[in-house]
Amino acid sequence: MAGLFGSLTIATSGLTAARTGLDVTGQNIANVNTTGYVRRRMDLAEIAPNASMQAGRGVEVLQIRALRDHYLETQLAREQGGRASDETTLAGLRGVDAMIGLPGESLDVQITSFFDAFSLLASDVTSAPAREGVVRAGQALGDAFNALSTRLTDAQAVHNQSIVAAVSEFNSLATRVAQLNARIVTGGVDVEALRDERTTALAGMAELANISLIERPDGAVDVTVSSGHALVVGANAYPVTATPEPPSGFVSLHLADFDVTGKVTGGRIGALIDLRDTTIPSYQAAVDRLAYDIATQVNAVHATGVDSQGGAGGPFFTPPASVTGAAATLSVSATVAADAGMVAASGTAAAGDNQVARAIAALRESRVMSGGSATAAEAWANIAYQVGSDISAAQASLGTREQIVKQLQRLRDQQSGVSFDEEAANLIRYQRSYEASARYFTTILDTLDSLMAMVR
Amino acid sequence: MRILFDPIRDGLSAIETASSQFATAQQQVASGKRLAGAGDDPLAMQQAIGERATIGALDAYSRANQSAASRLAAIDSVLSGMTDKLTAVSVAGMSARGDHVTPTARAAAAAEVRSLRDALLADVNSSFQGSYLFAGTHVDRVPYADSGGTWTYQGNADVTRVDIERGRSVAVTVDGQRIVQGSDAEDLFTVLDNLATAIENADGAAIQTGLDSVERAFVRTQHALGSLGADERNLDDLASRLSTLRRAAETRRSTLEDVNVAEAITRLGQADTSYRAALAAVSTAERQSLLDYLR
Repeated sequence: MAGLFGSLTIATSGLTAARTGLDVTGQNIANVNTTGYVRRRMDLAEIAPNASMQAGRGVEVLQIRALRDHYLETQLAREQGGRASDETTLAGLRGVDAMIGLPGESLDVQITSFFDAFSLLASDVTSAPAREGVVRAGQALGDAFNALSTRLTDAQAVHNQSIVAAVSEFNSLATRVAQLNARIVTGGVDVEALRDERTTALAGMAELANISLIERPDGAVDVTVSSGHALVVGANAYPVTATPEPPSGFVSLHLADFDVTGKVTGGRIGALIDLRDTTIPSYQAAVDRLAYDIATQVNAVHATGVDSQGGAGGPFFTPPASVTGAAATLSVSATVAADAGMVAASGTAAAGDNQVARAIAALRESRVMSGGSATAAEAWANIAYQVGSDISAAQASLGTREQIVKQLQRLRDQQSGVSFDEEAANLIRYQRSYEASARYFTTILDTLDSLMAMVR
Repeated sequence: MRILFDPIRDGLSAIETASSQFATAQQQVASGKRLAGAGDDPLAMQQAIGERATIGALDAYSRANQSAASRLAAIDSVLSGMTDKLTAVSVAGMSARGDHVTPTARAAAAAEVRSLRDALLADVNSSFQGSYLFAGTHVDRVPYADSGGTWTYQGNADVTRVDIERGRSVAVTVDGQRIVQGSDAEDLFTVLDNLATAIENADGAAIQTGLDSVERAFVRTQHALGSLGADERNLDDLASRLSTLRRAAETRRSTLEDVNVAEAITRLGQADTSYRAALAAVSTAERQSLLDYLR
């Protein structure tokens, strides 16, 4: 249709486009702080003329597009998962660091005191207080090992509880992704908003575990763990179950009948599993080894001695049944604990013979621990070094990951983020467009009035 | 290229970094410690534990050294007293030789010898902090028991040794029989008893035999004293060396664990400045917006 009424249609389309542009700008500004929100852009198209000598028929809003970059979002989610894993690892290791303590405030004090006590006894082998001192120092050493072992076991239990909580959160997110898949596939005007929400949910899942995403042609996203086991297929979510396993009661993770505990290697859950099943047990094993070595080495020397009653020396420490659990059970034998006279400090029945006390005191500087490669203090220092070294590695990894995440966030924001400056410019532009269209509209109306006046 | 400027997010990261550095510097200044955990410097942590173990061992050796020095001083004192008494015995024996000595003088000399014998017995049976010094490792037994004129050694030939540094020890008890009898057929107390009797009987040959035995006991005591003196000098030297080694280990430990206060305070000032700058930067940047110019 040509003529002035056609011009009014052009003006109306301009007003509609400008108002829609203002709405898109407002929506972008309103969601500047919304997690997962991707900025929207209005795509306009000229309405072509349908007759010769016609300028055109105005403008139409083709679509409101979400400026989403799937590659960057997937990369960002993966790196954020890695960052969450590093953060969790670092937090767990810092907990162990606190248990280890500083030099002069850690197990090294009890180790030194223990050998000091035997050294004092060697200097005055008939001294009853010196004998009592040896027993007390042995008990203090045992208590320190017991406490450290308990703290490490408790840390494992805490991480186990965190795994259970994280799995629950993971399942909730998987369910939400499945629900969103269903609605996205159905289609509708709010698909982009649903995609935003799904992106946030998927990022949450990636922070919890290493997942793989497969985008389907219908818009749904399937989620699997790295082993290929499905967590979400279209509108269906398959929950991960956390099943307590004897004897520790620590949970294993299952997807249907498959044990996927070892497959979850990333995200917070992966880090928690690693802390619970690998990292802390390795420290526990090293502490057990040290406790076992101290007990067996001291006992071996002690057994060659003679107690204050002239009897053959028994074990000073209760003999550990095995390396595993030695730290948790290290204690002075009941016989010695009940009577310090049972400390076999002598090599013969002579009261002044201090050979065995000297030999045990000399263990302080003997490299008979850790398979003959370290003294007791060195073995302990090696454990502290290992913890510190692991923390340093985790810190470095986290630092690198932070930079990668920041860089990816910048790249994503360049594509999908809301810029106040840009939106402010758009605001003015659409406002001016609206004002111009309105002015054009009134001009046409005035023209029509002039035309009608001619008729009158 | 589209650049997105987010002063809050970018600024927060800078604030967190500056805040973390400030907290670390503050903690170091407050505690005086460079290490707050193994993660701060794993190698320093490992070495610091090693240095503390070294210091612990050196302290243990120092204590053993002091304990041994006390015992050796006690033994030294006893042996010195014994040499004096053996000299007095020789003087008394020699003064009682010859025909010109009156019976009264002989009786007095014999009485003096017996008195010195008892004093020497008391010396050999002396103890230190409840332990007998001259009974070998039988420190709970009186070294020489007196049963009606017969003296029996109840100790043994072993000695109690104390480690005064790695691989080095010193004897803190003495095999009393090595001094009192040595390779002689009779112990010193029997010799002195016989000497007193010989003096009373004006038996010149027996007196000479007795004096010869006393002379050998004197030599044995002097040898023991000489050996003891060497040990005491070694202990003195060692105490000085242990002290030097401890100072060196303590310096190394301090370098590993303790903070350089001047440096830490400087770092605290720098961190404070960085923190304020980060806050100011965010505050300034956050105010910049095109919205402010489009009115």
